[in-house]
Amino acid sequence: MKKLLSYSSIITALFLVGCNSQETTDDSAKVQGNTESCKQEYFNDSVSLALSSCVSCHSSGGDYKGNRLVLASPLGDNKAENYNILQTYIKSAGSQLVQKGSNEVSHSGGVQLTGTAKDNVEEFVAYVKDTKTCVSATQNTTLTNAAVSLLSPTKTLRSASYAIQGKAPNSDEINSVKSIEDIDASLDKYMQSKAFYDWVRLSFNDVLLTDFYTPGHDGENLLSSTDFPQRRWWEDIDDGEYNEIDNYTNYAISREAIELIVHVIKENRPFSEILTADYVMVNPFSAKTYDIDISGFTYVHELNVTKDEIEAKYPQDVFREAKIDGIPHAGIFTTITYLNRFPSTNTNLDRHRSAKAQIFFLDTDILGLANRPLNSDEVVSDTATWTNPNCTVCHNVMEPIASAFKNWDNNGRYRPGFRGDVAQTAGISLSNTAPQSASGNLLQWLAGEITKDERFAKSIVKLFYKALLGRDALTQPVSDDIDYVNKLEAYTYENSILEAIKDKFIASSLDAKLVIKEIVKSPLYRAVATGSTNSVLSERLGQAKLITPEALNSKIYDVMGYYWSIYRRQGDADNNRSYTHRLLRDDNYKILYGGINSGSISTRVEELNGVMASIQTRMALQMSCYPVSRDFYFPASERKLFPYVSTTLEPENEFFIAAIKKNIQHLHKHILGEELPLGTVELEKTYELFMQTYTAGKNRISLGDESKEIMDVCELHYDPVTREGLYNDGRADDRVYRDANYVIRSWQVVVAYLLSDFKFVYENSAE
Amino acid sequence: MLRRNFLKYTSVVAAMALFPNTLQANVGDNPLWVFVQASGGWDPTSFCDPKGFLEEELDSNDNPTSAAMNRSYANVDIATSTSASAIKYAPVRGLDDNNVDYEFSTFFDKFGAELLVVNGIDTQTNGHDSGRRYMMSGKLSEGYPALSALVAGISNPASPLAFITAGGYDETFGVVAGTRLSNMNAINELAFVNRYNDDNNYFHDDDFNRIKAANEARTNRTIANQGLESIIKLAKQYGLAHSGSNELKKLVEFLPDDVNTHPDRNNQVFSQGRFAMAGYKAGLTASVNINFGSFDTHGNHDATHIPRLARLLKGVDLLKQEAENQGISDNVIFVIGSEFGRTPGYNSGNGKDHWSVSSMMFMGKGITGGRVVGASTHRHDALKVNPTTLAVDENGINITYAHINKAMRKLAKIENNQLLTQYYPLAGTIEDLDIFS
Repeated sequence: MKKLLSYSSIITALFLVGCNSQETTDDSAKVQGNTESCKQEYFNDSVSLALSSCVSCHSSGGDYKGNRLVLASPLGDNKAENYNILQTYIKSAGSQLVQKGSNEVSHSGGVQLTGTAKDNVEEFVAYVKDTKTCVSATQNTTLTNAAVSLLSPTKTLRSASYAIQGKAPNSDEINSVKSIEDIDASLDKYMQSKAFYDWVRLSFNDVLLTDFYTPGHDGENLLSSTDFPQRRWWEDIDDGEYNEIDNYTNYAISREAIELIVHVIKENRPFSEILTADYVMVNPFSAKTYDIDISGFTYVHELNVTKDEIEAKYPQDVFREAKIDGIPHAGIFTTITYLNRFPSTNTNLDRHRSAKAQIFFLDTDILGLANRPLNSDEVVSDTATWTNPNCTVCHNVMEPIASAFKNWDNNGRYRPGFRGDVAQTAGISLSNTAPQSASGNLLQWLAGEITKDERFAKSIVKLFYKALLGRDALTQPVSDDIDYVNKLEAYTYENSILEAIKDKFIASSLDAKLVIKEIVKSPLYRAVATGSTNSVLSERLGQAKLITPEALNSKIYDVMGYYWSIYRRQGDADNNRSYTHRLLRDDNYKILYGGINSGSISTRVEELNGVMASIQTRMALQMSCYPVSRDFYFPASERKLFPYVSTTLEPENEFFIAAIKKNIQHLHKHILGEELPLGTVELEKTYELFMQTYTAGKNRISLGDESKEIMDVCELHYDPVTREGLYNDGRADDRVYRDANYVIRSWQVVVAYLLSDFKFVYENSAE
Repeated sequence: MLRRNFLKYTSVVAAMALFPNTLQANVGDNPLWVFVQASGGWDPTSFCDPKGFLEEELDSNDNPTSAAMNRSYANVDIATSTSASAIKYAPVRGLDDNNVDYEFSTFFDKFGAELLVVNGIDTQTNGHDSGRRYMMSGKLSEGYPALSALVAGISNPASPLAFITAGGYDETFGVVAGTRLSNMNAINELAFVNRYNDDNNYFHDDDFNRIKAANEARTNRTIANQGLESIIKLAKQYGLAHSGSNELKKLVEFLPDDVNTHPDRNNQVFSQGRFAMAGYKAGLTASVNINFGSFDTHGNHDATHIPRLARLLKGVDLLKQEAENQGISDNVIFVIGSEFGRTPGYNSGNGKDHWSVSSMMFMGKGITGGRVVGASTHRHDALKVNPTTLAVDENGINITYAHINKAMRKLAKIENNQLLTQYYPLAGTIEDLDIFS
């Protein structure tokens, strides 16, 4: 449903003007002076990247380094510098930026500016010369913003609650919400839950992939036995729980980076600490590996203890800060699994590590610059990466940060001076190099510099954006992209919101929880409709994310009170043993449903395919089997699914029909989050499904073609909580299995219908 | 609702619907495209563009120095396929997944007459991601679907299993949904989604069909009620995927019985490809991305790289046999490549680094085998070719992945499809090289 269409004319008009500018009546006339902020914003959004094709010659390492126009690499941290350089050049006498770049006047580099890139540079020249009025992207965004219709505050809360803690809000939380700002209190509460921290672990592992080492890949073996003689300390234990202790230790070493992130958020520390932490996270078992004796925390082995006793006294998932003697910790950067997940070699010289550090924490995709063709005929020198402009465009950005890793060897072990003279000067850029005093702790210095850089904050905003919405933030389109103008508008809109969140993030001293709340409250998350005619923008708004297998697993439990397990009947109380959960097992449905194993499969499937659709259907059928009977067993007031009906209540009169319809209304709200008044189409359609099933089934029973009992695998014979048999001597038969009139099976059909619905298996802001 | 009703809504597929004449392909007439991506950057000089060590590169103990192109064999020992004199290869062998040596001669002698080798490809990058993207899409920068996705999306858009992928560059951009297939037991379960055991279903067939019909109708109502393209697109994907999920049954019918017991089931190339061949036989699958990694051998090159090549070649060998067994051997196209090549000589860790010259190999329907197109110097620099004759010509051009993709689009008969010409044209002037015939 298109809402607020009246705004579309404003948007359309604005788009037609194009490129954030308003034409003056006379191009040759001077306009009132354009502000620096507007020009800078336009330069950053629309001009900076167009300079990529210029910089290989017009740079300090390029063929035209003696020219009047000498640019810095067109990456983020040089935008301000290039803005000033270009302004100075444009204002200088006889400058012919557009004419040269487009080869309209003789240009040794030939045609470098065409199409939209040329138009954008031309526009910028007009702004600098004050022959056109600059209209900022922010103004544009404000107008566009008004044309977005938003999800209600309560629905936003429900959606965010499922996203970050895997369950729906309770009624008190829902009732407390009157405006969108009211959801902060509930979100703050959710962000203290175990489920939230599991979501953080999952989200950041999607990026860092360090769970590759847990379990089964022995993270402790990555450590040097020389540095850590106790790395496999449990081998001296010849009693009891050798394997368990091995697993607990491996778990902690594998999770050092992820647990640091969790710790920083949990303790409300500035998020910069994920890189600047001068400590490593240990559990009682890995503390022993590192020979760190923390009284009352570090594991002390006692003879003949059981697994349960160990877990009670030394929980593996309790972590503490610890310092390892002689190691200059720099948060994630110096954890052993991070350095091995992104290893180096004697010829790669930490460039891979540099590229990863920049894409994760500096909002800079170096490999994006490698999109430009490499002419192998020209790469003839042994030091081409330092001298050839084809190479320096990336390497000048890559090498200083790569060199900051030079005290750590290819296997992630601290070895001061490991790279010797091969590495170049360490720094965050060519112009900001590490002081001599930092030579032994370069990564600590680098971490400090990175986290002071605004791009760090922007990176983190984008990481949480991906975690919440399942899509990467848009990158600035290049001028030869199909549908460039619409893409640029969509990018500008999205980026301006993310920039605003970044600014708040910085102002909050890097409070990660604030980022989550701001994204949830933004139109990027809450949009349900737009009056904009920009289809690219419309495809970028709102929640539209296939639920991960992990999130679907939690959601199933939340609505059914029972997990989807490889065991198809009456296991323990709620099947709460994660190793049996179909959607969490690599060898069951997790990988097929688009999950990752952090190794050979490291990206999630985001588009539903036929196999995944079958998994959804299988889930709906199996979860409406025993769990439906199970829910009916409880007293009506304790039921999740059927508070208004019973296993024998048939649509025989208006009162019973009303109860059935009321229960259908409840199911739509409980399973799908739909709050629908009685009588609406969807409720009537579901009632129709119930009635058709009931009528046909009852008819088959009357003809003797159908059993009067539900299928045996769906029957309930034991109390779900106490596990007590329900057909013992001396007590009433409370088993759930009789279905003489096909009522239970009709409800099973309704539940299967709703569990397999689009709105259940996607995180979405669908109407 | 018919599948096409969901199809016509989905993003790029919506664009395809504008050009209905392009969607008339008959699945039975189209070949199965098997793309084998050797991830990490392979070393053509160790197999199909052989460069052995020279006499003058031996040290005082008669061992090849690090400057040698290859330490594993001498240049004078380069072998020639017994079935095609134009095909030269490295006379080496490596352990397969069962720790049995696989001689490269087995592959090149057996398939030489069918094999087209393109050497001296200028990959224009030595970045992993950009190289994979360029090889599979013909575009160095981001934004284009893999050819494997395009082939599937155009030739069999209504099938839920049109494009099977195990990774590599497999971006689809909505042209088709990629499917992972690996777990035989799970596939069996999902093929008969309502089945509890051999005797019982979870739901009476009428009830099951009632659920599916109600679900489909509700999905249409949901789609009609949305105000954002992002949600409409997803709901249509959902409707499309659900409307075809029963077709897994057909796949299971054609899967060989020995998927879980075949002695070479651990060969990843073979195991990934078998699902696709069964899918093709069932009329469901048009292309498959087989991803086979660990070629990025910056250290200890010979000991690790050559066995990976052996496993890759053996996997293709096994798949050729599988195609025979399935009766589809005349209707399969193999495309085997990697993002770039590896440096001439060895680094200080006995490894080889990234090098922007590589090779590809092709076999199958429409490809004239027993030939080598393109060439490189002994130090593995690309030589230019005449764009008309394809003979080495210093005044000619370098062959790039854009040329290869242009030729592959033609081979797939999709070069004039409006989806490609309007949305994914190959940029600039890309010469039309008659590589395959």
